[in-house]
Amino acid sequence: MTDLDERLNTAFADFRHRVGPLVRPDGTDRAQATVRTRRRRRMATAAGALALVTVGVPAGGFATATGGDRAPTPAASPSRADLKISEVPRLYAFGTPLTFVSDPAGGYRGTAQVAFGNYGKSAGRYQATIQLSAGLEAVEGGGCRPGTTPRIVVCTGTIEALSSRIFTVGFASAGHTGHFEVLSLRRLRD
Amino acid sequence: MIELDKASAGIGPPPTLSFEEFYGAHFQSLTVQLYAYAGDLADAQDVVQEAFCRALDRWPRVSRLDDPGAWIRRVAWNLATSQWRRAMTAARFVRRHREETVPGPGPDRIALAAALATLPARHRRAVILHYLADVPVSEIAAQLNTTDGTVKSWLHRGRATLAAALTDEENDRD
Repeated sequence: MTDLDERLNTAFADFRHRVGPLVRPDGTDRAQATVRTRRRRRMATAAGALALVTVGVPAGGFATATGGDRAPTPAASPSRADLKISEVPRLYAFGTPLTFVSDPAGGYRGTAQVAFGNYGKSAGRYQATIQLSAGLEAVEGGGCRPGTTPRIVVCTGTIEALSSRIFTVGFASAGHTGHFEVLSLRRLRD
Repeated sequence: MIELDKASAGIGPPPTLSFEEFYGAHFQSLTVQLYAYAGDLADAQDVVQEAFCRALDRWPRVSRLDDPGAWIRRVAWNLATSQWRRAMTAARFVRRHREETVPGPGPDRIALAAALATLPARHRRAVILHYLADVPVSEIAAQLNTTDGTVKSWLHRGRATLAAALTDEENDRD
């Protein structure tokens, strides 16, 4: 060993000797508390992510499958409380617009049929409030009558078990392309 | 990061090492090394504590390694290096934006720490691992992802610089 190495070894040993006693370890208890806290945070984050996936993805999928770019907006649906999720019409989601073209052969009158799909246990009499798009006017007939607001139609009909009950909505402006939207669907007392 | 698959392959000592023993055996020596490297004892302790927290988080695997001490040393050094780089970046930013005030030498300043601070970071790391941690050249090379020859070169230059600095310091005292 050279003199230089010896000097350095001595200097480092002296350094170790002088600094060592100054070290104040936080201790293993502190390390364990830190690790416990981190694990709890990781679990909470994972649970949040899982909740997002389990709730958000199906909801998004449902919105995409049923609503396209006009997904159901619960806050804007005045009668959402009247519908259980299982009663959401299969063909047209609650609050989802249905585009149709009126029948030119019918002069100024056309009809559109609103099918709510198979309901099974949900058979019964229902009242639907339907909004027609701009340029269309509701007319009476087919179990429907104009509501108090322009282009609002209130229809009453029966949904039969294992079949699609159809509301027939009358409207004006033949050949007009428009859409209607089911604002609410309420089951009537028998 | 040291690979952990040796442990899963059943190589190494049986998992009889307790975390408390491991902590007691390595905390002080690691803190001294990192203090020599970074020049701040509190930071060194924080970094070593963080390294032990990471070890505790995966203790069943770490405790079965051939050399858990090498694992914790590498983790602590990596943490210290990252922190030191961030500190250097912050210091450069501060220097650019305000007048620099250089603190005078305090009574706690140790000659060796001051001399080490003059070395480039990689040389300093190699010198500390070699002289303070007694790590062989080949192991230093593995830890720093370089060759044995490069480490020997760093050690040679580091030794020369330290010798000059320590000699100056001795002359100043006389």
